[in-house]
Amino acid sequence: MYFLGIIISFVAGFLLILSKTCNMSLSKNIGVYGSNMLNYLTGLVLSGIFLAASYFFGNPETPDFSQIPLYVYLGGPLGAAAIIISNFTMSKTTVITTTIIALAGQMAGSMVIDTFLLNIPPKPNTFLGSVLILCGVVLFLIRDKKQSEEIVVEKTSSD
Amino acid sequence: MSFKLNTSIFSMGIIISIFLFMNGVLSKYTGLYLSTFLIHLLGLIPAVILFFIFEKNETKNILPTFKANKLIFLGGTIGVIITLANNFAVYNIGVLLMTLSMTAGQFICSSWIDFTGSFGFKKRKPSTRDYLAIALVFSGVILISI
Repeated sequence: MYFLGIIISFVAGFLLILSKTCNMSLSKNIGVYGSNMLNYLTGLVLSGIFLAASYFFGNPETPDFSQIPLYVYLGGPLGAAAIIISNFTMSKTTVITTTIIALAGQMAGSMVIDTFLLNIPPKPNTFLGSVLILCGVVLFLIRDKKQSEEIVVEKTSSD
Repeated sequence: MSFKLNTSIFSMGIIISIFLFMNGVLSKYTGLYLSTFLIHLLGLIPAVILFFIFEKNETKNILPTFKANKLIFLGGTIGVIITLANNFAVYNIGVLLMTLSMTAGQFICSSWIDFTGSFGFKKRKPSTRDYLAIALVFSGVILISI
């Protein structure tokens, strides 16, 4: 389950960029909020089909909604906020730059959640792995920054 | 890039980690499929309100855009697979490991888009440094998997 969780998350990360790219293209045609709304609408339809299939083919338990803490319902609205910010920012910079800065925010947020809410201290190999991943990402950032500067210089000289 | 833009993107990262955690908690109480449905239902409410406040006039562009390019409407359906994957992973590997693995996946996908020029982005030729970066990311994923 541990290794499967990592592989599934890796694939989810790959798909996340594809999803963001689709949403960004859509937002250019129908606006940021229209893209965000359609994103949730199409997602609702597909997740509804999955839910119906799970009831039809499986035997799911009926949850006790009174036991669920109210704050967890904020996940959906927060996701909507993230999509709106993503749509605004991705068209103003490159995909890789957006990915790098968002990743820094994600890592900071998830470290705080693991430490203070889930009581999971990071393991040494996780720390070393994060450093390697960050180094790889920074290597791209340096090149990306250099290319952006070259584009600016080219534009200035042509003006 | 402006400080405001950088801060917005950084905040987006923090928001993503918080909502991934909340969605994981919801799935613990309601199950994988019901939680995914609820997340989309609850996300749709503010999305509809914002659309009708700011972009009501864009309604007329939806059908022509759909006829012109159906593929760009797939973002939401891909999102369902991502939500299912996240809800599964949160309680199996924790938020940090999930974030790191997702990060590696995002990095590889972004590199692929930049190197192939897919989806209309500017194409760039990969250098030795880029290959080294990819090797580092994969080594990192292997390390966190141990």
